[in-house]
Amino acid sequence: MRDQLDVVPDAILAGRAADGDTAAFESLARRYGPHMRAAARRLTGSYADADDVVQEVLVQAWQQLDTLREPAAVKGWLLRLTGSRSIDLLRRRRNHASLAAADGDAPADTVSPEAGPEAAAVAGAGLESLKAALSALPEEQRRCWILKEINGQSYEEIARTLNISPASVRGRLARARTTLVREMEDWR
Amino acid sequence: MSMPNDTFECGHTIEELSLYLDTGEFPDPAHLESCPECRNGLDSLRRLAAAGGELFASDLAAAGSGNDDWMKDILANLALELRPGRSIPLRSDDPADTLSETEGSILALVRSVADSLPGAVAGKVRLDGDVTVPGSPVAVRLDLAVLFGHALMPSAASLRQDLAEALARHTELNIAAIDITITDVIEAPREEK
Amino acid sequence: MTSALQQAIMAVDGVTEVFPARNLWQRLPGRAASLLQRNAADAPPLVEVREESGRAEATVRIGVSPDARTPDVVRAVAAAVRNHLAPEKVAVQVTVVRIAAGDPPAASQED
Repeated sequence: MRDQLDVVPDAILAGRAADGDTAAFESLARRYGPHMRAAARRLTGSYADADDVVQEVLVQAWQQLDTLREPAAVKGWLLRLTGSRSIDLLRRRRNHASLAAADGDAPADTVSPEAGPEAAAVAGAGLESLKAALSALPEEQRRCWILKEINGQSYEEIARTLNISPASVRGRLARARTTLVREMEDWR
Repeated sequence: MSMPNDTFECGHTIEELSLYLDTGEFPDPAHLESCPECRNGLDSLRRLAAAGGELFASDLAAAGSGNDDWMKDILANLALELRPGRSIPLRSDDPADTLSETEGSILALVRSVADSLPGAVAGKVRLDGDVTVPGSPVAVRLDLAVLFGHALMPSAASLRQDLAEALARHTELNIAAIDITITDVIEAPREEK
Repeated sequence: MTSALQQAIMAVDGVTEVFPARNLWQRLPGRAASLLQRNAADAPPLVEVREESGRAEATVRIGVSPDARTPDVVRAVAAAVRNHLAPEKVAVQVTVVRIAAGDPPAASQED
């Protein structure tokens, strides 16, 4: 029956997990873990940090699943938790290590070692220029953009995650997009 | 250059266009049909959104699958606490003894009986009633997903009987009702991303 | 060598597992005088027996096979513990925390 869990809808898994079914919870974790890891890595800049974030989120999710009003919304909830935990980690890090890195807090692949220069030049050229432009954005704008485009969060949710107003989210997102468009079109 | 400034000559702003793309809201929708600047701006923002989609797809692929070692490591580290729930008393032969079973163990029992029925997968289970007081009536409420192609009604009838037997075997609860709600019919194997 | 009491519990028909009597955070040192020999200092006692105002209390958490009848198994476990500790007077607390085929789960063996 275990493999059947992999085909059932989120709401079923979330309901079971809230009842204490660890197998259903692990199935949810496998289903959305890659998205959570991708989002956390884009925010924090490394897989090591991302995996810490994903683990923390899963612990929190297990403890709080029974408070989730709408079990079908579990994916968005996990990604919101992932966003918040990633931001927490970045804040902790800045508080502790602001001496170490004077400037240039641009995490995530400014250069991407896994993609060779030719690969970048052909298939992923647009992608590489977006990554470069993204990592050059001011930190607050970058976070807004990632929470929107990678985590899929709403303005209100981003506002809560970053502890700013929805209007600020709107403004930062627009400035981030303006810069990104400019950078990418310059590159063309 | 489609984005020279934050405000276009028509007076509209990139922020407005950006919001429009996310929400569909714009103060003057008709304007978007006729203003070349706004349309160029929207085109640029849409290209960026597409590039963002590509970035997400590439990040997701790079993150690996949920069956990879990184996820196995995380799951192995979790050590999820059990949820015992309420304590359901059982009669004892000796007055000094306190015998019970956890609500969590009964919910798991109900799930496993439902899961063992071909084409059925249990969802949420509730024991409505005061299970901590011997003899008080308890209604079992079970959400069920059924795989497409399996007959719903015979499933529910035979499942109700299986559940009644399992609960009589493993509890001393006064089961007043077993309500099964089919919440989902699963069409086809879900695509893994 | 671990625990003859634990073996006595496992010998009861329908018992699949004996779980640690208390969760980690509840295991307070001192006060509770265990009647059982604990060999490995860090191994949690599976069955806890302690003196409380002159009477022994045994705390047991078990898993039960789906094929068994849980209430009968639980009463049989209480009797087995009482027997094992006799002539000591004991109050037995048995909690079923799991009704499932033994671990690792025997795949597709449901009836």
